[in-house]
Amino acid sequence: MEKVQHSKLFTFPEKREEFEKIIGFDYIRTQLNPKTPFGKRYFQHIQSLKGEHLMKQLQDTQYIIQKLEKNAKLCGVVENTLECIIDISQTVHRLESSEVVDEIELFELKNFVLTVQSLRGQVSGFLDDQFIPPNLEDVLNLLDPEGLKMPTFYIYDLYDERLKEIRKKKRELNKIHSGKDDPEGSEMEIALENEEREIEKQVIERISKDLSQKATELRNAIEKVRYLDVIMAKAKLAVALELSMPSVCTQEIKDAGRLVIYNMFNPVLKEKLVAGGKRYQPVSIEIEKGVTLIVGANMSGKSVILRTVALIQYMAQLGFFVPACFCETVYFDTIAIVTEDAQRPLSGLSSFAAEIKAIDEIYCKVKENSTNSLNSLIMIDEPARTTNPHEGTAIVNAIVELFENVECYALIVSHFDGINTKRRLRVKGLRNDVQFLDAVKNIQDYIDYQLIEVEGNEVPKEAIRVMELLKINDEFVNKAKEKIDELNKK
Amino acid sequence: MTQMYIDDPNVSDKFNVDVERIISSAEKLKTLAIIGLEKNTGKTETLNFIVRHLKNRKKISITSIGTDGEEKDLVYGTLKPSVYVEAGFVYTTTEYFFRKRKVLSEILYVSQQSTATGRLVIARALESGKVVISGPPTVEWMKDVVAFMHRYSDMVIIDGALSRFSQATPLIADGIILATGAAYSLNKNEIIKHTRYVCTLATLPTADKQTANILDELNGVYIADGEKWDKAPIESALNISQLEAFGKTFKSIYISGALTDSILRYLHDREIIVRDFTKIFVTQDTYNKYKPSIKVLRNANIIGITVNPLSPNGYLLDSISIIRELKSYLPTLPIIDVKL
Repeated sequence: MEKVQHSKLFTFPEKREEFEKIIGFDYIRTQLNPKTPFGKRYFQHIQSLKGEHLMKQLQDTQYIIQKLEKNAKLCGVVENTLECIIDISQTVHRLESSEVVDEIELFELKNFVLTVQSLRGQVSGFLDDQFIPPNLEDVLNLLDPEGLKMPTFYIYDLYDERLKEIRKKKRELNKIHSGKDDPEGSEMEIALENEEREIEKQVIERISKDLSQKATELRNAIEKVRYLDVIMAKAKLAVALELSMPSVCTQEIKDAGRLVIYNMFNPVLKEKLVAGGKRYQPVSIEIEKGVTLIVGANMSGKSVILRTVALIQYMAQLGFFVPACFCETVYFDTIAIVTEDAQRPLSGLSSFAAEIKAIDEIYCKVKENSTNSLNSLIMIDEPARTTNPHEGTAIVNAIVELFENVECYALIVSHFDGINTKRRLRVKGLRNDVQFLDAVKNIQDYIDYQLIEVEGNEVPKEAIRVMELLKINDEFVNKAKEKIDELNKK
Repeated sequence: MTQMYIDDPNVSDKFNVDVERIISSAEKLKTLAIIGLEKNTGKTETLNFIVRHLKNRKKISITSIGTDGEEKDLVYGTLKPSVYVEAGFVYTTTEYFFRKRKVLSEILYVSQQSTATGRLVIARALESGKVVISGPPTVEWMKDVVAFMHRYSDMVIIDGALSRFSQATPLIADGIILATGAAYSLNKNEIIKHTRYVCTLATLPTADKQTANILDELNGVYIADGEKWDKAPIESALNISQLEAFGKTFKSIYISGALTDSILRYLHDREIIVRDFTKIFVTQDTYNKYKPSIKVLRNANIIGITVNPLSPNGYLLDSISIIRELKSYLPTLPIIDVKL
């Protein structure tokens, strides 16, 4: 099987673990359940895919999902078999370089081969040829001279006629000695033992040599088993989390169009809400090249939108189905996200300094990508939030202009008024029919999370309305309103 | 039976009766743990003794917690195979010892997890001879290994290592033999005192069935002032001294972890419930001082005591008088000298 070409993906934060935590991929990992050591390792060091390889994985996942629906029972059987697969990659590696393996390795190899053979029986006629592991009967014959197909191993008498004789003699001598506490054994016994060891050694060398000829087949079997395991894990995840197949074009950024994501959801949040008996409102978004500003009241889910877009993009590029009804996107060489929680309080930098340094770093990367026709997707959650609104507005406007002038897709969330962008999306926010809020914790029940395209450069002003709905003391609310009027007059 | 007993037909008869009793009790077990009160208290002799008597009647598996040998023996490679297996016996060892073994063995299982001397190997002896028994170092792992071995044999014997009782938990073993002897102390009274104490712990009364069923599911510290069990407002039994600060009144306390001297000091006037005797790490002095009321969820089944009169430095104790004295305190238990 040909080696899949991986394409190098650059993320920000650069540390993959950190990036995955911010976008919620760590949760996806907990839901993934590969059965074989090969599958587990694949997901541990998962790489992004591109072009036809990505396409193939997605289509194969779709294929296995259909099989899961059609014959869940047989899929369960296949999974149980995959669970019995042991890791023999070290042994195969040693055989490839013509080393002599030992009895324990032969035992493991025999186990592996028996498991692959039964897997082969289970998937033949059920799955496409590409999922069927090669026939390892020749290897099995080498490891199972008695043909009993038992998952056990020793240097069988059948490997060498002399072994049978020696062992018989040993047993006879043993009978004579039994009962006597003779730890060293007689000279005769020792001689027999040494002879036995010597022949066993020859046998192992011979088997190792024969197996070396089969190393390619074994390697092939590992690949097949791993691929089936990986695709099954992805398919099961897709079914469990209700994911759908994305479409990822490989286009240069200058030709790329809109990214379209309909009804996306954040799997962790959805699980929490559903567990609490609540409904998750999916959100749709279309992202154009250049900068899109997202505005909305507090708690209106702007940060969640950023993270979910990043998650969907990341999952799509790793060949996963995504948490949305529909997703049409392009391949990105860089996916960057800057959020509050990525700034480590112990790093010695103030949160402002850490944030601005991160944005600077990302900007340099995007500029470099831009000249190399590499695609970048940038998400920044409320830049300059911790500084004063006067300078903050200036800084955010600067960020917007900088990113407008390089080739990239950027999503920026901001609370500031007076940010000028070509495109602006607003979270609809508090529903108009709301009369009062009974408690702060239920506020999310009264918010419409849809994104709508809006004009102008002002952010929605809903804080005082929320105060009213919360039945805050009239005196307090009126005072706040007075102050607003005063500001507006200025 | 031997020269030593000829003078005392009374003991001799009793001795033979006791051998019979231990063997017939052992025969009924699914999993037997042999616990040595100290290294060289004759565990291996006890094991070989049981094997000798049962090998024709039972398919036997042998395992042990960790390796039955000191680190030094391992490092210098001087550890000699010491457990005798018959053809057909299943035993556990580790990669290191398996590679050095002399007995033709069929590999049945190799673990993914590793011990200090490599992965665990479960093998079936295809001829008789001596092997090094090495087993899983944790109780959880031991449980799995014992379950696996039951598939290949009628009876599993756990060769306990170095006064560690954990593998004797009634969760795993349905019977225990205590091996004591001169290696524990050259002072006869010390041996007797300590052996009696272990027997006391192993025969603590069980909590009533209803309580046991409730507590078996719980992890941590729970207290009760009547029927109802509540989680104690402390993180673990180590913070037991904080319990008073919460002003909670309770008559009974359940500790799923270890019961130690310092914990007992705070609780000696209450009823204490622990999972089983292997969770009790209270020294004998502290126990005698407070005479606490301790109950267990599962009690242990001691089927007998073996005495090894020979100390590692060659000193020989009078096993007859030790056995006689032990019997005066523990009249119902069979007690034998495995060297005889």
